[in-house]
Amino acid sequence: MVTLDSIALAIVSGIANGMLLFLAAVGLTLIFGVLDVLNFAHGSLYMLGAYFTYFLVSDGGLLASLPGSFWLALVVAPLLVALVGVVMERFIIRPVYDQDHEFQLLLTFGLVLVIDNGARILWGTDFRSVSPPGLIDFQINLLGSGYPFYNVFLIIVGALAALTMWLVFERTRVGKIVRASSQDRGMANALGVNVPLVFTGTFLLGSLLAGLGGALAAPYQSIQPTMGESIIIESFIIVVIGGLGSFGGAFAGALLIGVVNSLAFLYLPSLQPVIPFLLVAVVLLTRPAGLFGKEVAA
Amino acid sequence: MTAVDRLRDSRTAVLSLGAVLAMLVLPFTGILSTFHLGLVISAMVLALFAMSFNLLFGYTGMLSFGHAAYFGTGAYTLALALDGQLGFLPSAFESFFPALLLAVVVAALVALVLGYLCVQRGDIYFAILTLALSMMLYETIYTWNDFTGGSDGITVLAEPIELGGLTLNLIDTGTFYYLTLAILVVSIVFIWRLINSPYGELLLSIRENPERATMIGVPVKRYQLSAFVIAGTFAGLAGTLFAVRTFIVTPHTLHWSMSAEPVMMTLLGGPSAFVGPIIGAVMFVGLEQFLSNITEYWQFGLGLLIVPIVLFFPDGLVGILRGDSGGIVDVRDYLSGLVGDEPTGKEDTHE
Repeated sequence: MVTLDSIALAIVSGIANGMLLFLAAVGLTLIFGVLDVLNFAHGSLYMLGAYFTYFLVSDGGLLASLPGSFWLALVVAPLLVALVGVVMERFIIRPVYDQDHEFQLLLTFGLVLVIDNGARILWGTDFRSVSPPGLIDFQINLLGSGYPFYNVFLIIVGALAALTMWLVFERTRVGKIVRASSQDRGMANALGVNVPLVFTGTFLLGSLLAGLGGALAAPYQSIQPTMGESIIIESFIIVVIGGLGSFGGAFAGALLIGVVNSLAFLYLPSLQPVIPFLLVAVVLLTRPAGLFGKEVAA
Repeated sequence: MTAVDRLRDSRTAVLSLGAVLAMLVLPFTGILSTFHLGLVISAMVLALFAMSFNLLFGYTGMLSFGHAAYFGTGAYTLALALDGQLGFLPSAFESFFPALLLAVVVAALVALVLGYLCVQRGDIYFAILTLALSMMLYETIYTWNDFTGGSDGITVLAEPIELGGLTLNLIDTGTFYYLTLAILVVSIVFIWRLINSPYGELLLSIRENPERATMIGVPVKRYQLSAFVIAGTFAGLAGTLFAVRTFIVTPHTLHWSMSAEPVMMTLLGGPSAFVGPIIGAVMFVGLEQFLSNITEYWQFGLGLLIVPIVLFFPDGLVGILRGDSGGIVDVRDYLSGLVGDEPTGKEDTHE
């Protein structure tokens, strides 16, 4: 039944899911904006974030016996993912910084095969799940119906992450250095910026955010090796809609896709899988650079 | 044409003729069991698929991560037509050749529509969009249960064909071998002539520098779209053969992991050579046999191969055999870069 309340609830759920999409897409767009590398394996990092969380908090896990294990995992899992990301950057992606995008895509595509199938070999294809910590595992009354607080928690964390990143990039010296390196790495280098360090740092941050997204997703969706490929395709859609390399575009695009998916799931379930792609088609034909993209030759 | 060119041409002609003759007598030599003959058929089908992909990637500079969309469209259209599910069509389409023709036309049309969207932006968007739109098709087929059988797919049972007193039983491995070989050879000749025509030269100029091609008045997007449709058509053709060969069409034929196969085959063989995708397809089928004995998730091993291939041997096996890896990164430079702390890629090498 279509009521205003049910629409509002669907929108809230859409925003919650949109925050997870944002955490994945923003790293992708950030790494592209600064390093000019499109990392096909970015979704695989998200998947690793969820699995690491599972193995840290499930029975026999490293953190399982500690109080507040989930909260610790929320810190440790993204850090582990960031470590994987830095190794990837240092040993595999760095040699192709100056190469065509095709090379980078093919190379990181090889990484997708290794990581995703490695996960299948190591951990199997069974769905796994993590329950939210007791502290936030309750229902709230939202517009007269019970609603899981975890979704609200996702919105709060996502919004905080977005705000922090925005402040760092726009208001701090570090942010200025990163923006300078992204605009003209040669000039930044000449002015004494350690560009390779900035690049590694950016890759680390992007991986950390993907890992955080995966860790937050662990109690929210079932954990399986294919979650990386679904999130990378959704992230690609988001960055095309928002504009590749645009921070604001990633945020707006992620929320838009989250909300549209959630509404479509309720009211047009048969068309739901197609709608994000139709959005892409409309954006491409009307605003080819994306909603927030600058008109540059791709 | 210089004497050297003519010599090279006649050498190519002799080699190709020899290869075709060898393929013609192969089933009679008795060195292959039915199972292995089946593998050769798979390699031929995948070779056609990979060649159609490389028409885009190697010759036009467009990296498609969604080529299975047209492969799967061909496969599904054939399956639906043979199954008599396309009730609005005359019943003639329930036999193999009309159904094949229909499938190829539908694949071309789908490529025309999706390709129009994909060529709107440059290189990186092209890769993203081909992937995204192919997954849209996958999701649609997957959810559209009544028509497509959802995740179960559709069984393909090709009835024997009567051709002027000759009965072709496609279920018979030997017969299907020759049908596949014939279609492959005709397609190879067509693609060969295409890329050696003025049209092919134009595609190459677009690959080399799309901006410059635009400047001299080439309608780049239109040419890219035309190449996309031709590639989609041949992918659809490969899809129909795949459907007959596997007896079933499932949504997997449209999945991104299916799109990844021609990418991997082309990388294995080498995108810069005409025969690269064919060699790559043979390597791919061989690797699949070998690796899937070790693990069900055998593409793990393929990934382990792809990373060093892209880094050090982007011209694939053909490049290695030529003694010119075409590598963007030299293995020794890379290794010494790991020890010392050399910054990004480009280092001055003095020779």
